[in-house]
Amino acid sequence: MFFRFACGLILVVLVSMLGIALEKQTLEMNRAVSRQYFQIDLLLELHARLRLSIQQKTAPALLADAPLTDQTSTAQRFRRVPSPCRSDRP
Amino acid sequence: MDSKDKPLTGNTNPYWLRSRLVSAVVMLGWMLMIARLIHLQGSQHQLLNTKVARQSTFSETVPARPGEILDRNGHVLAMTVTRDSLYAVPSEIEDPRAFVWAISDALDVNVDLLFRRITDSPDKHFIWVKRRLEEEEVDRVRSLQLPKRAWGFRREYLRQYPQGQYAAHVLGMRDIDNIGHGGLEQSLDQDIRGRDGRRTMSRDARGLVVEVAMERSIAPRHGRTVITTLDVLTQIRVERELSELMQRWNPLGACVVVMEPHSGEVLAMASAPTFNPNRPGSVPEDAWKNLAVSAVFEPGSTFKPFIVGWAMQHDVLQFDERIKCFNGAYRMGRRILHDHHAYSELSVEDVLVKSSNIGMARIGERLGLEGLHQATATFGFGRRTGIELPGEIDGLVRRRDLWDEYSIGSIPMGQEIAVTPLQLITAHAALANGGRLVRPRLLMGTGEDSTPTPLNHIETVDATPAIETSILRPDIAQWLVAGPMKNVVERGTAKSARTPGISMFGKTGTAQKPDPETGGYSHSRHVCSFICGAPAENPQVLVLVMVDEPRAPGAHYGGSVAAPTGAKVLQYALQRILHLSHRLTIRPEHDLPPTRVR
Repeated sequence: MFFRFACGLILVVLVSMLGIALEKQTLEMNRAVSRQYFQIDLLLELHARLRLSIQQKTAPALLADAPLTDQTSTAQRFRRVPSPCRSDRP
Repeated sequence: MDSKDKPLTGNTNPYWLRSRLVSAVVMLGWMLMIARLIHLQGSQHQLLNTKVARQSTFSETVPARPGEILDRNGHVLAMTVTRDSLYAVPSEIEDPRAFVWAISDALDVNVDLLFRRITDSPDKHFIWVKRRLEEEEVDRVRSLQLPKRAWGFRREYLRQYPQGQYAAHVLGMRDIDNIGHGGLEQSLDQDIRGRDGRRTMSRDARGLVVEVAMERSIAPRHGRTVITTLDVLTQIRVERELSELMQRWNPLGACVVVMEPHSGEVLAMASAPTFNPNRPGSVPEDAWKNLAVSAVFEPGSTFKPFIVGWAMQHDVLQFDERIKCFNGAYRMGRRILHDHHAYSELSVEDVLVKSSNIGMARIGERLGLEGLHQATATFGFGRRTGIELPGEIDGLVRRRDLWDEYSIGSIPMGQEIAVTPLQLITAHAALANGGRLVRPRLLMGTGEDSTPTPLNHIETVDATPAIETSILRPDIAQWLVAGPMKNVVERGTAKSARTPGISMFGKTGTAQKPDPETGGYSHSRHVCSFICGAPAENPQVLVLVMVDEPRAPGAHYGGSVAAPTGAKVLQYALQRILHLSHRLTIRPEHDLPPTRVR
């Protein structure tokens, strides 16, 4: 009888533990989902700040004020260097 | 054989008794537990649930992010970021003096005031120390290692205007409590502000959020994006030209409006003195007023083309007619009118080109008071244009029964009525677009374009439908623009605006301001204006410059004060108009939707 009682008790404990494990997992997932809401807030804020930064750095007023020499040097920097013609080779 | 030697039967065996006793106790324990569970789950279920919910559930406001304001090419004119605001909890501060001293090391705050606020209300749980701190200030406060429960940060929205002072009067500004003041920020406040949401969450014993209960939460409705008709490059050029004009002529104020006459879209609108909406504390008192919509002035000669057009529309004046001008002096009742130069006779075209007051008065006589009043009302004077800006005023057109014979001479030369610069350019747009009076607008219509753009998923403020009325025969409007008004620039009062390579039309105006001391007109205080457009054959851009009381030495005429600025702005706007698409072009960073994320 004692053996049967112990078995029953162990079974109940095992089922409870399983339930607790499942509950913990559910909670963890709920927490992860909840984190996403705050993550969206953070990403939106980050997006806003980056956009603001882009707008400030590329403000038309600043571009209009940029000295012409800077623009020229940038253009020259990206200009493709002509490769030597075949006829130039020895 | 005594009882000790008797064999133990089942009922008297001590092990049996003990096991029975233990079983009974355990059973009783289980029974009690089951009974308690039934009690808790049954009768006290509701009560306990409420208790748990009260302890573990809380909710907080999710503030709606105010919508952005963009120019027609997607350049951001106004947007919102968050900043930390520092608060203190006086009830938790043990040594206010040390606390304030430490704060003053990190922040620029009024130490005495803060100390007094803390010591005056030691039981309070919340007072602001400084709102919307810079990132460096936040770091400095964090590094102070103040007592944890005595202070904290709260995130608040901060409105930013990346283009600085440009278009300040059109945009307005948003205060610390997120309320719009002036410009589009005020007129579209409800749309831009959005609606706050509420987020319900449950937390565990350590206070950490376990779950966001979405079924009990209300998502915020973020503010809508406003897409304006402004072109920021034109706006910048306009404001720079206006700034130069202010330096050169030192007027009380001035404004410039650039408009596309066919649709009524305002490409640029600037008013001086101006302000920087990023620094609301340093706005001069006289800089708030947007002169383009809230200043009135007598239009002077810029009003004359409307009267000529209306007279032709009603067949009291012909294109090829000649008007007698009485050699520069003409008596009307008790009044003698004068021209700047004496003309015996002028063609209708030359009445406008030479800006003859006598010629106009004679045309006014033909129309009569009724006709003049009709013309004034038809071209939209005396009532608001309906642009999406707050503070627009009606102008001043007196009731018809208050007009007298004096008005017959005054109205045709732009006196006795007062108009706003926006009313004036809107009326001139009707001449430039073939006789249609259109409502000026600052909001881009996105609805008419069905082509999908990356902005389609962003909720934008809809432009109100365009309103237009046909008020003048197209041939008359075209003749006025391509004939007399073109010649005003070629050989008339606006020769200073002549620009090689541009077929420009225009009209100058120099109105005397009323003198409160004499009750008449002042001879030293003027409002100089110039309206111009191009190309004269098919006008694409209109520019109006209004200068209120130039005070620098020099000749204060519309042709000398306002016309050079108008010509420079027109030249630039004409180049820009080629690059302006009527469909919104989007900058790549718009790909992420800032609104309605959940």
